[in-house]
Amino acid sequence: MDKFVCVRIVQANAMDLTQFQFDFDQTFAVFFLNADKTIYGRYGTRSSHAETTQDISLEGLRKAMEGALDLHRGFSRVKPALAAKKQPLMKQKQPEDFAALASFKPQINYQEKTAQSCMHCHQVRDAEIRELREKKLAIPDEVLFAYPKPDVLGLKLNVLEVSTVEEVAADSAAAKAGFQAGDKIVSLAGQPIISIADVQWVLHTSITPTTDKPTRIPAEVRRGEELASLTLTLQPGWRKGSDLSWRTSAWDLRRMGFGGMFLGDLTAEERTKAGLKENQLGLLAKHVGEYGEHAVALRAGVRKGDIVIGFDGIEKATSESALLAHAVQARKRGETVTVKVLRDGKELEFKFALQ
Amino acid sequence: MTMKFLAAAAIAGFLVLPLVAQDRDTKVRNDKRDVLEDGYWIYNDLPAGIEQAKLLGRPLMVVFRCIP
Repeated sequence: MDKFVCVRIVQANAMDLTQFQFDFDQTFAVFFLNADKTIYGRYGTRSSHAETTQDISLEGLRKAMEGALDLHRGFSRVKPALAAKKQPLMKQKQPEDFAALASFKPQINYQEKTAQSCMHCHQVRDAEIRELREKKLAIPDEVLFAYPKPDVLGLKLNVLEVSTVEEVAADSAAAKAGFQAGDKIVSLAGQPIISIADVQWVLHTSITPTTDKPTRIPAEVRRGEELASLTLTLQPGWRKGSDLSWRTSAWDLRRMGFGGMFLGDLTAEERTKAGLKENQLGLLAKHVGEYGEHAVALRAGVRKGDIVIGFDGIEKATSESALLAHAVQARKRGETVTVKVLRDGKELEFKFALQ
Repeated sequence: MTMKFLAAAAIAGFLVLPLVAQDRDTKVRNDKRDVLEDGYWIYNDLPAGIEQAKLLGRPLMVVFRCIP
């Protein structure tokens, strides 16, 4: 750490969104910068609400720091390759440019209501999604499924290393590209990689067009003593395998798309007990919001413990994330959805308006 | 009886909530002191970090970490 100037930022208030773009649902994110604000790399990944060991490690951070120091030493040579680590993804320059966050002041108020005056990072993402929703726009994949983990392409990276491939899923996009376990990703889309977060940044900014054309990302990997050039092909809709359930922003998505229901998978035993067929939708209402705008499903009649077997006509087995995506992409605010549930062996139907 | 109980619970909530909020506020206020004691960190001041990085010729490590 002595080789760095270490800055701790504890608030999202007045964050420069042209400089700092990361997965705002994370509670920990690191940027390695040159003093001219060129980004060497990022560190910090999250894919679970409670478990962190699958995503970050001190060893991984240490190696990312070493990678940043290498880039710093060769700065004049590598600077052109680092340019794409910062891109204008949002038109808002700071979080307060979102209507939902306009009342926040640039600094924490240390005199009174201190905690309340501190803007959380996830509030930036909440505000971005809310603004789209209030304009009755579909939430695009690149906003909804932000910063996809490479796992969604079949590429599992070792959390203790910089960017070493631990496993490649058969028949996945990564397998088709030719990735192998043990490969060290040196660059992706021409950008030097010093962490899993850097891989996620490239994936996040690889926006597949709305046509059927795929996006191709060049990759350079070190395989033993050799360098190999690969091409990762992203098919339209590739992000949709990402899990939304761990995200703090999922709470507001559930308000918008589920009227406040929080749905979870049933065990095989629970499915059998409920008499569900193999490919039949069956998600347990683990919680149903009780207050204000989060209680829309409750007021419509849904109860905790209900098994959702139909949502807006969808009755085939799928995940909460996929249903949530349907609700905020295929349906607009104000439209009514029908929810079919099993309760004590009986089928019941309820309707409510999406928010 | 039920209404009296609910009223008492509401009053208790109003009394307890400020105490809970105060703990959180105290945590946020004390965080700066606690972090600065470590001696490594510039706290919530990116411009100061950039100035120091320019002076020392070092890279910056900017950590976004909300106060738990």
